Amino acid sequence: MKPTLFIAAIVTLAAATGPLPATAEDFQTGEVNLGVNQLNVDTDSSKFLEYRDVPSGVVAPYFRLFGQKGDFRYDFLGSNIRQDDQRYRVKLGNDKIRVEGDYNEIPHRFGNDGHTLLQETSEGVWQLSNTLQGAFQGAITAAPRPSVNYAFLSKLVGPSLDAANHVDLKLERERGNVAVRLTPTKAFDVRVTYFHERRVGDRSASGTSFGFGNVVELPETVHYVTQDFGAEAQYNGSWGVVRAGLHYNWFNNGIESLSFDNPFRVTDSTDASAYTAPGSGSIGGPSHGLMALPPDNKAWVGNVGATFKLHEPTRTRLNVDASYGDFTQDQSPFIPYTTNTAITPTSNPAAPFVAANPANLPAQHLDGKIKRTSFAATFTSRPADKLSVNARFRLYETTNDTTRLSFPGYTRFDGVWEAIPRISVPYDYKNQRFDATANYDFGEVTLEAGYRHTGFDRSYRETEKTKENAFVAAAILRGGSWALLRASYEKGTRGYEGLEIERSEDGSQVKPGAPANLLAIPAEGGGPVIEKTYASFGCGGSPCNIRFDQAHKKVDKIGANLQLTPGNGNATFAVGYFRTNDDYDQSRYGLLSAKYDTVTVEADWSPGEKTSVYAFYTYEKQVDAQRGRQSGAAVSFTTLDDWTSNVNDKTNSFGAGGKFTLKPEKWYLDLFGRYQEVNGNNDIASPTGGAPELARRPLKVGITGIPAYDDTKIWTLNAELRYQFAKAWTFGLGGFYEEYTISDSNSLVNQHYVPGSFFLVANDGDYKAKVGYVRVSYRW
Amino acid sequence: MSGHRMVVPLAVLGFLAVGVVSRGQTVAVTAPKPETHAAFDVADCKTCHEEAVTAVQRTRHGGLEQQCASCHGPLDEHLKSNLEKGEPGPVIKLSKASAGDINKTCLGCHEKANQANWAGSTHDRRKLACTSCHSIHEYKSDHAQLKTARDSENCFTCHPAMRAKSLRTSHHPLREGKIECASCHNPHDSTRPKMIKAEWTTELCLGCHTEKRGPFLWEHAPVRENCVLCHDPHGSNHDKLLVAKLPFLCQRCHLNTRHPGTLYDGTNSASGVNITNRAVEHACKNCHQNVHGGNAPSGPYLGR
Repeated sequence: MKPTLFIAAIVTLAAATGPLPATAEDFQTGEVNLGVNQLNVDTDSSKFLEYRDVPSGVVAPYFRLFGQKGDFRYDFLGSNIRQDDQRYRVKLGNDKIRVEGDYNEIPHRFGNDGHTLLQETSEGVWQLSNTLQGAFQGAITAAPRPSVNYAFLSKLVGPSLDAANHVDLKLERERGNVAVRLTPTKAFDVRVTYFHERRVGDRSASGTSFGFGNVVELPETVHYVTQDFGAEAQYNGSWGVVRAGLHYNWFNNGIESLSFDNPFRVTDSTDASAYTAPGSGSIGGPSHGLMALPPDNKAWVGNVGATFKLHEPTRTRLNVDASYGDFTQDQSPFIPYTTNTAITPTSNPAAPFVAANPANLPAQHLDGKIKRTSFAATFTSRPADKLSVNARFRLYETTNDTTRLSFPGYTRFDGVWEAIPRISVPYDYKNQRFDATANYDFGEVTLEAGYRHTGFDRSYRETEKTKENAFVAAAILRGGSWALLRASYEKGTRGYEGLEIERSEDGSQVKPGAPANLLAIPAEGGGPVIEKTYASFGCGGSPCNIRFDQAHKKVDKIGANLQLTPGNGNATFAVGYFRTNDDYDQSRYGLLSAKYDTVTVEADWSPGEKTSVYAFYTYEKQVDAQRGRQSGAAVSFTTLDDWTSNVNDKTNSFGAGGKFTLKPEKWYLDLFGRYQEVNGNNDIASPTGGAPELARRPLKVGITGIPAYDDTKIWTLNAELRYQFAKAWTFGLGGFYEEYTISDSNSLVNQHYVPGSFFLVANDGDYKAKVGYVRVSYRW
Repeated sequence: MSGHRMVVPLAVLGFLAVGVVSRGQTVAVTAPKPETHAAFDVADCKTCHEEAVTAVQRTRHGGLEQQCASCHGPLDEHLKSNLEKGEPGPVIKLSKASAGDINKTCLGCHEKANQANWAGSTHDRRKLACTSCHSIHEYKSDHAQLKTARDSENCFTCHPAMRAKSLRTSHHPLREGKIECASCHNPHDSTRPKMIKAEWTTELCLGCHTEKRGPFLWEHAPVRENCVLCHDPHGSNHDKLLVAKLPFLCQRCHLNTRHPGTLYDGTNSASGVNITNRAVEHACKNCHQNVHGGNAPSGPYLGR
């Protein structure tokens, strides 16, 4: 249906809702916008239309029809009609029954014009011709092994890549909601809901690799459906509210696995080392690979709760909520260990069976079950005129009852059987939180003091418990009606209990060996090498190699926001500052600190009904520090192999805009502009003579920082001039300009084959876009 | 937490409840209670306040039994004075009232559903009024009678850092109007940390990202625990809303022998002289794709 036809349908709908209002309370009103866009974008970057659609030609950006007839109310709304980002909403009903529906399409474009040698022959199956596969395999096997390097492979695949398939990576969410609300009495309310969301399209499937030296990035075909059925009820009385709800939510993936050809193999073979294929070290591997896509799952969640108005004069409330959830994943079949038919006890003696036969799996699907319970109680009161107190307790617990599965080994990249027994690990955790605050009003000043405790109990992790205690203080200062200052400060410390650091890495290893992770080295008892390694950490007897989500941490947060409204109140000036500082003060490796500072200045001014203007500026600084250590086959015990990364992102954002009535009931002008610039720098260092520095000497470069780490700029300028040529009619002329640039250290540009990898390199980069439009609006 | 340790915070709550209720008798705070007034014709109000009354009549407030008097109190004197003296008599003007008084008026009817736990919420304690965000007469949104067309414009007034983050290259579709702050937060709530609309952060995220819900054969423990360990839902300059760029984010925890602990510097980046697939495009995820959990029997390292 074209936009114009759609609008015609809306007008018909308006007429169908009945004759014009008969009584003073009845009304019908609405608005229809039609227009024409002219678009000019200088590149094919997906970023311009990332989450939206801006088509050229005739558009119908908005309509709304709503009104009341008797006690029946209706409201129809639509935006971006027939576009990829269209949305419709309908509300119908009266005080007893209401029906609400919403349909929302949300595009997500990840990149345009990606290049791939493969072609999707059926949903989720990506292939290239056996002829080409055979030609590549023949050329590689015929060449002297040492000459099979990047230059050789690049030359081999270059002509085919020039003629490769072009793919756009784009996902569309089609989300619909229906809710029926029954209110038989003012006190009782029942709501039944149904949600359906379909996600279709392609996104980048990383992980489609045949070895560390043979990554083949592909579009991952997405065909997801999520549905939710819910029922909620609420009863209100003078004593409070009691409520209950039940939701059943289920996810189905229409494609269970992604199958993809190996560009360099047309026949299956094993490979003693899957690390380097198809380079000089090895040239074997499977003819195609298989990747398990997200499995179907289900969730039941039920809750009951009540808020009691214990004592109205003191505004005393006690809220209690309890909830139970059951999450299962037990339908989707496992894919086999491998697609490689050559991995058999004959050709790969370590393999105990034919690994491609799914009958050899210990189970055909997972018996995945997680139960979770939560309980929360909140108390609030004003026990004295100027005093208020609040306290909250919350418990959230997951119990992972998933059956543990043992595997005698696994195939690495479908190339080789690794006889390393593994067992699945059903992690779960429990969180407890308690906080309390007290506020006191001293006239123009309100002070708050509080305390918070957060605790975690974890299974299969290196620490059994972590506990964080924080003290908070806040103040509100009022200077008459023209000044308001809100400020807060928080200081906290986190610690841990029950440390068994080697558990951080060997959870799924049936036979753990010596810890291979620097953050899994125990403090003592690990032998002379490990003891020497630990000594090199340089932090005495204290464990200082704990992951950041459990490590000892000091937290400081400060925030202040001052608003000034001088004179007659037609202008507001505000300045705000916020700082958060996470200091992992006992950590020597991993994340050491993360700091975020931001300052904002903003103002708005409305000197009269005809004019209102505003402007804002925000400065942000994010500084993260971490330390690592480079190791070979065994953990290095020299600090010469250490490296540090200090990321410093500075962001400047500003915006300004205004609304101007040039001539009342005739001419209007809206202006708006926004700019953000992110300047990121990753300062990297490592000692001279250590492994990282030595590795770079042949390149004749030293350790190199990344000055253009994540630099972006985005400009947006909008202007719209409107002329009201009749009481109900408005003509608008407008446009916007956007300019986006990005320099990201991870993102390749126009290089589809780099050492060891085929990449799509879909374009989500720079663009300049100019959009002009005219609009006609009719309101009644 | 074992049973006896749960008792402590619950006992504190219980103590507070009993203590406060027993003490509270001396405090007189008037609760808003709609009173019944003599019938009046809303058309009388419209005579002077046409725009305001028309706007209200087009909302559900228009169906209130007491009409304007529901919020503005008894109007008899106001109208009588206007008729007799040509000057409006006294009326409750909420625009001049304190946040507490405004909120009492609104909560008289709305202390239920999403607003049931307004009392004691951070916004309540920071002295925000309902009218800080909502407008009864001059609302701009097509739902919830907000003072601005989108809820984020309201929220950014006090949370400007969130506005700045929303402008980042990696962002949720907030600025495109496809989600709102209220998609994830209930600004009226006092019961949940950060006012999120779920019992736990991860459950909130999984509401839209259901394919990551699992349970999985191979779990990634921090993913199961909390999405915000790795993602900043308000915006980021790194791909996928990540709090740091790969491989450095992964190397905050994975400093293993061989490739995980190896330094990847500028020489290995996309513009470097020695590009490696461990540092460009999806970096670690080029092979370890299933960081959110995997179901492949050969994927204990969260590969395929």
